[in-house]
Amino acid sequence: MKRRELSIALVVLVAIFSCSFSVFGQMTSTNFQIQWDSISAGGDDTSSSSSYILRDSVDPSSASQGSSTSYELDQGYRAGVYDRVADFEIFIESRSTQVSAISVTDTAVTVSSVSGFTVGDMVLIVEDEGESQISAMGKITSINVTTITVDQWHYATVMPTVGGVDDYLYNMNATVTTMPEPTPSVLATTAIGWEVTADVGDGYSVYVYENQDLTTGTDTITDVADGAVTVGSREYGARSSDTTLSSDFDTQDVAITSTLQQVGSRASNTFESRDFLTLKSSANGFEASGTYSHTITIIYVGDY
Amino acid sequence: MWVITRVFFTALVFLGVANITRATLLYPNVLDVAVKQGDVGQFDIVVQNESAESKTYLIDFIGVELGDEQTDYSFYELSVDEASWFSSELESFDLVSGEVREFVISIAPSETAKSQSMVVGARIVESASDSSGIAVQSGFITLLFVSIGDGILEDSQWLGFDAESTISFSEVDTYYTVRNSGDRFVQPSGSVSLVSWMGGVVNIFDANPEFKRIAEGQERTFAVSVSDPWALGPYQVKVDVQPWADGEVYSDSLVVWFFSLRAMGLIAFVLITLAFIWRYAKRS
Repeated sequence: MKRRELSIALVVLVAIFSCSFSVFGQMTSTNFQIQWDSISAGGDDTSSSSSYILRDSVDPSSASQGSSTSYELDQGYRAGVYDRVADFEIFIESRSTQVSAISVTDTAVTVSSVSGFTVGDMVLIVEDEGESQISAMGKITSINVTTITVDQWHYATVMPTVGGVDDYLYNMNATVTTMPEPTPSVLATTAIGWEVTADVGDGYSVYVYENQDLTTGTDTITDVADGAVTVGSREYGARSSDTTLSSDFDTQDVAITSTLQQVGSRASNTFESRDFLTLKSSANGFEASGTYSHTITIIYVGDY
Repeated sequence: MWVITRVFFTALVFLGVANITRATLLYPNVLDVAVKQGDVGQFDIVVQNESAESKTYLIDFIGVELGDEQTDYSFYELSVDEASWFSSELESFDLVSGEVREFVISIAPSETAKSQSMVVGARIVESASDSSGIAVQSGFITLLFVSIGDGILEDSQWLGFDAESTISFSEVDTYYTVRNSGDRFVQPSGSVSLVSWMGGVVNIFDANPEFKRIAEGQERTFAVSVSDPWALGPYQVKVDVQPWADGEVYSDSLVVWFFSLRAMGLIAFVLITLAFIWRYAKRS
């Protein structure tokens, strides 16, 4: 009797485990696979925070493929429209927030003063400001007495090491900023950074172009042509922190022109990816008086 | 010279690298448009001003040339004729902080436009505030993949299907490659299926869930990860892909051996349990 009962128990046990293989299966059949689920209903069809956007839909009955004899448009509830969202933010160096950078570690910098800095600000640390400066960008996560901690430092190839002499930290929250005076012995620099969050599988590119040369209208700062904006010569150019570009901005100082040139890129979905462009200007002392101006456009293009 | 220099330097001091931190959100990044000569197609673009200040946005259109690689773009000014086909209901608009604006783009190729595929960028740029010096403005380009008319040459080549490995304990990365030899954009669609040794379809994966495109002259490899948490033994991985909606279906397959740790662990557990039960029964 006991053996018989045990045999029945064995059969039941095997049956239970056999069935459990299907319990853990995905929602698929031979004919469909559910890839999008409706997570919430009602109200606006997007929910968002500072770090994401959730796209959902309430009414599945509106699914359709709009068409006429002349055009086609796919629309409706998850009807194969891959809705790519991109968030693009620009940061500009604020010269007025300059403080001395005394020492730096993996994610922290000791400065002469933390006045003018707030958690959440984007900052730029600069070693040996001028012709050969090395910079890095990071977002402040905490401030303690004279130490500013960032989430991470983003830089081109080498992390700056600072010691307080010609080494600075800047906030990148400028409304208006100024380049320092270029002289025949001092090169002027400033930085423009960007942060991208893009739900684009193969990534994105960032391009820069200008509406005109840096000019008063009668006198122009010459575009750099030899790969380096050098002290004592009249030159203007820029270099990117992104070292993977199809343009030359990753390896040398390059002139900004009216042609769109790549200054940033990523090859996959990104969350808060950052790069920056360092503008450089030099003078030979023979520049004409007046206001030198132009407009730089920094533009995002997602992959397709 | 030094007087001039001093004046120049004074001017330079006031060189504004003007403008403020700004964030803008845009969707979609890419749109596909098929429209016939003489007709009009209309589509929406959405922009949100995420910065703390009001912004003014400008819209225009720019030609886009795609290179052999997906990251190769070059841009050109559209001809007068081509430029006349593209318009926006708004040439500029203002958004206060947090505001969202949806606006319509219209594409209306002339009756005499030749049947063709082209890529155009709808460029949305945040207008720089009036300032002297170096002004900075940011923007987006939404790519419009436009197919005009019928009779566009369609031709694609299937270059292969492969897997990272034919033995796996969890998932396998598979790859298929397609070349676009025609003039029409290729946007593969289809599935990669996991079929058990008994012939049942265990799992189906979208072959191109992000609707990626292949421009003319390009070759593109698509990666699809396949897996099943209980897969044990040989499985056939089948790919069935069409280059466009009514195109020829490319099919291929390969065999992958799965050794799911979860399945093997469960089987071991069952066997051990059975062994204990049988041993107990024997003693009884």
